[in-house]
Amino acid sequence: MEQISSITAEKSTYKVTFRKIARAAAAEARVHKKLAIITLVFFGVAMLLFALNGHFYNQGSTIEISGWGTAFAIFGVLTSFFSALNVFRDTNNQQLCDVAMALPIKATERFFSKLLCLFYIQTAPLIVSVLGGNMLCVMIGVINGARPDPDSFELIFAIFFALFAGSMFIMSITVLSACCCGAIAESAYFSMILGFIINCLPQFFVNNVIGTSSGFYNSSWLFGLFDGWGSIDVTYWGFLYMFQDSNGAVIAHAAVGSVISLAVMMLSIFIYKKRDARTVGTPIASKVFFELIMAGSCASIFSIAIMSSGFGWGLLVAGVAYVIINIIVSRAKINGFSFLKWIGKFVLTTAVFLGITVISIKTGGFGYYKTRPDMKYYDQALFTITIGNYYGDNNTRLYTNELTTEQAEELLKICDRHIQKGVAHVNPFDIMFDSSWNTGMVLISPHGSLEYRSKPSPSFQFDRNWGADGYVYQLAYSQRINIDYSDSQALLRELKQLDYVYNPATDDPR
Amino acid sequence: MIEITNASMVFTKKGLGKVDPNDGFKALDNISITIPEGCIYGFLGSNGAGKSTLLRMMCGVYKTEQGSVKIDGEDVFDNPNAKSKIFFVNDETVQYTQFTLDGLAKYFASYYDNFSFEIYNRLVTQLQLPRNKRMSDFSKGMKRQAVVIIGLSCNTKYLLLDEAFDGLDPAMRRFVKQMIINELIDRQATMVVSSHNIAEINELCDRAMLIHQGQMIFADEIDNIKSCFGKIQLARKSGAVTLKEMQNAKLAVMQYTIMGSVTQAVVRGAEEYITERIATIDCDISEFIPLTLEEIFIYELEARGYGANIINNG
Repeated sequence: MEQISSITAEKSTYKVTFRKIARAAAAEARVHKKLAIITLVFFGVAMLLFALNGHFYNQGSTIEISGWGTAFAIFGVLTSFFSALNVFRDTNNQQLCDVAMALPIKATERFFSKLLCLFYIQTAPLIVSVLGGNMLCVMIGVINGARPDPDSFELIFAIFFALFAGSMFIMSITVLSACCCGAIAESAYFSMILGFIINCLPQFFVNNVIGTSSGFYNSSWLFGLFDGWGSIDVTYWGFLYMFQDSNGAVIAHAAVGSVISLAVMMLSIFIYKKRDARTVGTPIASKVFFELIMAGSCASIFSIAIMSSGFGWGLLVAGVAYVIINIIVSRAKINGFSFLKWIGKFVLTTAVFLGITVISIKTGGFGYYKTRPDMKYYDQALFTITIGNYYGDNNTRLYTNELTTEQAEELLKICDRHIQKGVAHVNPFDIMFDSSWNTGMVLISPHGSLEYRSKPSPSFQFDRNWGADGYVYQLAYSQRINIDYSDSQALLRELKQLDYVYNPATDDPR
Repeated sequence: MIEITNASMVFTKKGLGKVDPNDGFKALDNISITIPEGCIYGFLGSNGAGKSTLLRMMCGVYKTEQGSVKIDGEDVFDNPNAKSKIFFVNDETVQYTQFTLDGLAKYFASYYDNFSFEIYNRLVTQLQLPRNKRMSDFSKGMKRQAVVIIGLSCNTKYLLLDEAFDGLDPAMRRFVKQMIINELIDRQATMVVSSHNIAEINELCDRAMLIHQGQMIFADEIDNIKSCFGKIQLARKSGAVTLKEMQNAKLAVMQYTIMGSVTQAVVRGAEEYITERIATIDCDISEFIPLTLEEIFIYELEARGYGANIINNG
């Protein structure tokens, strides 16, 4: 009776506390302890193999990572997907939702208890394994008489951060998908699609749309993809950080990626707490999420296709994928109107993407075509400028004489003027549908040795374009941009009139 | 006290966002009931009537878009204070299969501050359920017993049972019901139970509500409900009593049949009133027969066309 009377105390205030979250998280973790054990086994075996690898902790030798260890570590990372899907099963299972939502706990607490549970069952085993593996490494090293090797430690940290970031990334997209979907199938395959979009869209859009439009096609120089020092690095979130060529870059990218993943998980609360059991069972709880995923998938496929082997097959693949996903998601009866609606939305998505691409082509990659190493840092420069058609027939190659800084700037300004006109006149669909033989082309690349003059603000000015101090003495880039054929000929005529260039086939250098 | 005021529930396929009451399936339509403390309340209704929906609204599984559901004066949705007074046993047990009984007890003890291991141990001993066996190995009836034990051990003021006795054999059904009643009486708690088994509601509950296609038909004390309906038999040598004659006598006829010179009718109203009205009808023999709750259920739903198609087609 006393208990009941204490319960009936009316309208008492309720505070969200970490204690309640931790208690609920512990209860959830007990439910999912098998997943924690599986994760621990994968990471544990991986770290054991790393530690026992003869080359891993051996000062003076080349550091090698165990292949099997890597495979088990990847399996460990992949369990994040199942962990997140299981922990957030109440979003797509009516019976579990009944239990979860009837519990005396706020949606916010429930959500954060699930995130904490994911930490217990996924991240904690990783940390335990890494610590255990490292201790074993040190022990083996000491037994073998080796001193701690900084390179080995850096590699260990890089491995840990890479696994941690990979795990966080998978958990974040799965949690987001689970919060936005009401069926287990959609939660699963939408998180995979989301992973595909995040890893593909930024880099393919940058490389294949902006890159090609600006003429810096697939240029790691411009965008710093995979190198970790570019001005725009689109590999911070996803898996591509693992392909960085230095451990330091992997750690930096993984750290930033993990923060983004954590933020995405945290922000999913705004969708999660809006939901009640009515959205459980319906394939898509958040229509906005669905439309974004569909648009993102199309944009990814278009970006892959558009500048490589043409937009046509991208249109076909994306269109088929669009309709199939809609058929799967649509649990209700499908009729002719459904197809018309999907096709209409696909056409709209395509039109928006094409619109953005046309703008990109017409503006030379949103003005990025102007971005070259600043001539003011060089005393003199030499350029090769090729003007003609895309496939090299009737091309005219011009060499510059040694140009002063001012002359180099003037030359590039003239090129830019014609490029600006040329991209405005070019038919963008010729480029998109791989009919670039209809267009003209300007290829600008520096050649010969260039004398580096001064470096007033190296870390700022040069890192953007060159990244590392070791490269700043060598001016090496290539810009090939499609413009209208008549504009390319106009540029050719103007450059010939200048004393800056000569045609090696007919003229002598000055 | 649980107060449900003009509660409606619409299911749409549009996902998250503001629900348009006119767009989608209306599972509940303006339901208003009050469940006083200390009573055992039965929810009766046809399949898909909205009983489970209403129970889910009462425990905060569904958000009430229209109207309100209050537990001791507090809105229940996303309100731990209100929810801590409720334990909901839904109509499935599949969600508990990965637990052992002890594991399930620990799980709920993490959420319910008043969870009593003393009650839990006592009831588990009474029902002789295995504590450390996974519930996936339990029979359906054992799972039901286990969940009921957990519900009682949570020591909440309100216990909501959605067809919770399904799967129990008659002897165990009786035993579990008695066990629940004993526990609830001890702490003056309230139980709301939904069932298709009208005899069970009749036996267990002191109040009941009938719901059909999302609309409430009646809600009252069971004795009052029963006293509001009756069956009459009227016989006349010169020819059976017609519907018009009964209506002229101001009888609210729900259903009637004529067999030769005998007219049978189900009418609304208290026994005294009906007897008084029968006296005004010219007939040789008249008789009033009280209805069981099951008969009231069937006649009320038939009066609304429920089952008529099936019967006619059959």
